[in-house]
Amino acid sequence: MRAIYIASIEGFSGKSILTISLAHFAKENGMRIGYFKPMSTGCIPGPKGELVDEDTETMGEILGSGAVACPVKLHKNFLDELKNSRIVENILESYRSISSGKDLMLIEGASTLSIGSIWGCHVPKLASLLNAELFLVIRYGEDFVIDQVLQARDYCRHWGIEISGLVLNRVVEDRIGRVRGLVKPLFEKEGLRVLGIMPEDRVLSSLTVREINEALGGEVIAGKRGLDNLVETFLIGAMTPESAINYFRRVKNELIITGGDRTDIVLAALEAGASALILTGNLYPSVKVLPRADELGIPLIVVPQDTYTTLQNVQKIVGKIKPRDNVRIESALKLVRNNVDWKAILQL
Amino acid sequence: MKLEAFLNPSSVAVIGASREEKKVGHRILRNLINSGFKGSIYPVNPNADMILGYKCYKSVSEIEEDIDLAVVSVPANAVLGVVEECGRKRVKGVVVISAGFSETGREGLMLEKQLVSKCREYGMRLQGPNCLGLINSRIGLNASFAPTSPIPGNISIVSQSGALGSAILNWAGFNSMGLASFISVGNEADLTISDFLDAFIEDENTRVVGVYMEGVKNGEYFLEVAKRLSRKKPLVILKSGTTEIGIRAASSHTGSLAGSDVAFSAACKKTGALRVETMKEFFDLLFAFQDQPLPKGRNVLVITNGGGPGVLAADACEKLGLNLPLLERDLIEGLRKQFPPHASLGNPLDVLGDADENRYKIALESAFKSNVVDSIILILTPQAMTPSEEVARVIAETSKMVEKPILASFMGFDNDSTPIRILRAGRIPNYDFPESAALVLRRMYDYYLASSKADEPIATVTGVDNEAVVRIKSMAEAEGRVSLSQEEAFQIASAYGIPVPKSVLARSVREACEIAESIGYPVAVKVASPDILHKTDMGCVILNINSCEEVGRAYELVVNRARTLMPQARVSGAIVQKMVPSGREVIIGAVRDPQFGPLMMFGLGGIYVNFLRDVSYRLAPLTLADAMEMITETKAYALLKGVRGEPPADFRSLVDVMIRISQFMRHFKDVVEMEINPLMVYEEGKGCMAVDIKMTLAKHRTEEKEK
Repeated sequence: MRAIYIASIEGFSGKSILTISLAHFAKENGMRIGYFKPMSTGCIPGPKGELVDEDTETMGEILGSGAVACPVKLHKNFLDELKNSRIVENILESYRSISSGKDLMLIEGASTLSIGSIWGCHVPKLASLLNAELFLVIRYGEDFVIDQVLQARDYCRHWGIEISGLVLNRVVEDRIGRVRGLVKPLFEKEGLRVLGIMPEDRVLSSLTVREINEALGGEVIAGKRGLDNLVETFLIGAMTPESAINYFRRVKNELIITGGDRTDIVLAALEAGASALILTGNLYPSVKVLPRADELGIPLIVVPQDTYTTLQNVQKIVGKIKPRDNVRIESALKLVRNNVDWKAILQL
Repeated sequence: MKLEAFLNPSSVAVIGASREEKKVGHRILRNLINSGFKGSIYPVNPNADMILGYKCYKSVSEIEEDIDLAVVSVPANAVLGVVEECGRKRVKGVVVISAGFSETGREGLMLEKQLVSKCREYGMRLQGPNCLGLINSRIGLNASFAPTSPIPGNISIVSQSGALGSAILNWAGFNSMGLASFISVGNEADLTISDFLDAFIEDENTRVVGVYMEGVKNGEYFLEVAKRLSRKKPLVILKSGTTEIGIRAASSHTGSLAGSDVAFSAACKKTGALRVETMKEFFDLLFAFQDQPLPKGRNVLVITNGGGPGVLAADACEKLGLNLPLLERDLIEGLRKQFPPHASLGNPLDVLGDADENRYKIALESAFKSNVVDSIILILTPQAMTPSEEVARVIAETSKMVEKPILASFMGFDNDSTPIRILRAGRIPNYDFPESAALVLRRMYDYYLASSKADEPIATVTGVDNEAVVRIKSMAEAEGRVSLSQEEAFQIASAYGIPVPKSVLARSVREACEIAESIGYPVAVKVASPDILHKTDMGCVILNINSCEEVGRAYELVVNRARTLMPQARVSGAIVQKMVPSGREVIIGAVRDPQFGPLMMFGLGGIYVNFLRDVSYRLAPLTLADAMEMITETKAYALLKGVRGEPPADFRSLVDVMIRISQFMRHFKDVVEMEINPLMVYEEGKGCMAVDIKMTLAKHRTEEKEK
């Protein structure tokens, strides 16, 4: 059995995009696959109040719930509850049972390599204990990232692990050529294989109205059909209606936050084709706009907070691939298929 | 007659007629009976046998005779059933008074849609729902629940607001203003304001039309109808929602996007409709138009028995662009013989404080005889010796002798006093103050100009490459962008024959230098990125570069600035552009108004345009005269003509660019905004050149194109 450990040096680099895609491609090629996430640091409360790791849930949808496991779920103040020292043993036991009878295990790391150090089970240590090949997904925003990657390489070497390959992600479209011609050779000179260069993907990096609404807990009073609209930009609607329409027209996939009583702004946003509106202050617009929002499929969401607080709240929301999020899963598969040497990773 | 069933029915059923005096259904029936309707009246109510002395029917189907018009005042949820019956009975038109439709939200809107399709199914037209009803005084039809019935006259009024409508009716009554028709359009589910305006075009009883509205349902139809109507009779429009707060209030009231207020003003200009700002101006104009002939020029004679009011009138006229010419020499001589020596025989013509009716009569007759006087403002202040009643009588009598408008301003008189009543009976509009009279004359003259102007053809240009535009746009669309890059906008402008400077995309320092050498110095270097709209603000534009070395430095500077300040922006290099020689800077823009389509804007260009607001607007398509008027309306015109000995600018090429943009915006309905700022205009014969162009595409593409 082979084990592939996919890790990163910061959050939201794109581990899930690669993991989901590899699972799909391996499954298509008839392999028996398991998914293992040793430690989850981003759990959310499930329907029965238990902690749930969303990545594991998503992979469970793809591979079947019997083929996935996430034995350690941590919240930010984990020390209060986890005093026992059997963490590593728990991980190893869980891994043994889930990996039996599999051809390939996909292991997904936490946001950084160092998480778990307190129990001696950071990424390189676990990779070595689980006998896995380590791949890093790197968000390549600027050239300083190179230094961080080299530091990670040295850190892994210290624990006797060599990085098997890098996938560079979220590269600004017109810089792909530069990364290919300049950055890739540089990494390879340092002994690091670059197995993929993925451009920033609009669908994957934007939020949906549904996600935003779930995070805010607002009331959708119209336009429910448009809950899956993408949101790329947040705008505040506080101008005159005449300037509003021109302002809204110049951006795409915009979410407009405005006072709930600003019926004029709502009408301008509907006309300009916004993705959604958040109406603040628990105020409702004229009922006459609701049918129009329904017709256009532009959600109107009422929240109790004021406009400024709402803007701060939405800016904290980040996109994640959720179970059954087929739009994002399709985009992820396409992105990896076109830009990553996945066959090399899967040794096909 | 159009909408005959509404404006001239011979039988009316009142469905929901009631015996209870406080109910709307009772009010309507009573109004109908009291207003002296000559046709047949049929109350319908399943629970009554007789109402107000009329036999009551259980349902419309029980009525033996044919019904032209049904006025429905039953609860909203019963309306559909009633209308279904009307349809089977072959009723021609339905007025739904009942509220509880789209104005109440989703369910109401559903009900309204069903109501409309029910009416369509039977070929019935629908007025309302949620309206006050309609009145046609000539046939004594008051099918409304208004508190009063107007006296017959030749003014027709259409109101979007029912409440304001009943106030208008009362006010008209107090001021003895006669109405031909009054229509409250309600939610305009089927028949809109424009439909009634259309019907008034050929209505002999209507001499002037007044409209109160907050928004337009179908902009294009409105433009078409308003234009045809204005050709034949004045259309006075009071549209509210002119300020930010007002627009907000209108949005909540009507629940539809009012469209921009400048666009509405432009629509009025295009059609010849007269837009007024206040209720007072609305009535002032209707009063004058209902009886007075139009002034055929801007020359006014002010006749006054007091110096002060005369001066006020003179000031108001001058400010409004009206002239106060002197009478012809022989007329002045004639007056000199009959007036006291200290009378001022200029303009204002001061007939003095002791003037009697005779002196007014002599002055008026001179004004009639004069070839330089187009209209008369006649002022009277109540002085000790003034026989105001006799003066009023003289005016009323002499006014019939001539086709020149006379507006009176009897200052300081009770509306109910005898002189004012004499004026009213003599069909002379009277204004409390001379400024109001001057404003009315100005608007009457505007209407005269608009209605007598020959129809000019829409200006068109050839040699435009629509396919190239489609190609360039589709690249942006494929990338999911709505804002076009500067390069794309330049290519599109160029395909439409708008002069742009030579510019080429460079991907490296070396390329930038080679390009600069080939197009010639001086050049400008601008970062090339579809994501950066305000390049100058970000320091991503370097001007006036004169050497290869400087070009290289500029290239690196703008690209690096862009990368640092907007790390996520796509940067494909930098544009090397031939420096444009400076000329007179103007701005030409167009935004697509949701109601009226492309709204063109012209003004003084550069960075102060938003601050100075020296801009003019017109709706596309432009005629050559429109384009020229847009220029002359602004202060930029003086600069373009040349100040301090400068030669005039190239108006021909400026107008040409405006026409091209107008045509472009009409052709590509998915372009929502285009702006050239600045456009450098050079001396006559030397053309002009666009320096910066912004263009935005619609998000939901509308593929349709101009027929």
